Amino acid sequence: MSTISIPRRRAAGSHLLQVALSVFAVAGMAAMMWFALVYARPAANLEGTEQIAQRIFYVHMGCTVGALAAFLVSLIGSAGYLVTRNLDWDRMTQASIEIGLVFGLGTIISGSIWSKPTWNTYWTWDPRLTASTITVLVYIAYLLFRNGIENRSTRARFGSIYALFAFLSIPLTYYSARWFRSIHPVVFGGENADAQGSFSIGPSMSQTLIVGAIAYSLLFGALLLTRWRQLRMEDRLAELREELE
Amino acid sequence: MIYLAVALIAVWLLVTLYVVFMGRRQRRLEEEIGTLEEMMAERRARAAQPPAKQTGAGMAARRAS
Repeated sequence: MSTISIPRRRAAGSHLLQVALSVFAVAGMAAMMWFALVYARPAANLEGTEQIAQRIFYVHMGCTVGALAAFLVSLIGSAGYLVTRNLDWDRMTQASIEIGLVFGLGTIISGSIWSKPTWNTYWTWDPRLTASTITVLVYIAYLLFRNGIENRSTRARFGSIYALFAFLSIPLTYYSARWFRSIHPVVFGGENADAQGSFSIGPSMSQTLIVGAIAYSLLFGALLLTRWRQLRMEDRLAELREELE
Repeated sequence: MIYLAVALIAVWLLVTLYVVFMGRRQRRLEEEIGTLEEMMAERRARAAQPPAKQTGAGMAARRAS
């Protein structure tokens, strides 16, 4: 079981790390915006509205990287809880899934807006889009189900097992544009002959993608640490309430 | 241009809403923990206090009543 009362020095250390990560995340996001809007060269094979809208790509990919990192951390957290039964791992899982959902929704919304000038529709039941939506719904269900369980350790155990299985939707989403007939372009490791609105990625675009990936990872780290500490506080509050009763 | 602007605003809005949600929750938690810790400290102090000694005058008054 967890011990909520952590040494003062460790708490101060994690607070300092949280502040440092937040500062780096803000700086990273500002840099990412500059790279995405100013530095990156426009896509050569696109024109007009489609060419301007192509810059959504950096935010879209950034959100995807953030969501992927979050769901990966949730997998580690759930495995960690099942092995050690330490509630800190469960808090990590919950925090990362919440943040993953923010980024996942960001991916879907930005992609949907980008698809209007590219595919001439905001939404189509393409395998990649459908798989992403299913992933987000699966993780929303995680939060809903776990909130319905009263007992703390049962909630943690159920959440961890659920999160382990929920992660199966991630590779399914990643490979959906490769395995099924999809109009969604494949960015890394392969090509999709049916893709519409794809473009070749030049050096300035790759650099912007790297900056975006770092910035979104830092943002994820800062949010994760903040939410993790908050969940710890919530458990402390529940303990205090129990003591008083 | 409009699509780019809307997409950026939408993503930033999502992140901002989550940060605001965390900030509000944090404030509420800190207040609640503060109140509960005060209540517990009061309760402990009350439990640690020795029972009030009965003075001679008090005992006489009680006997008289």
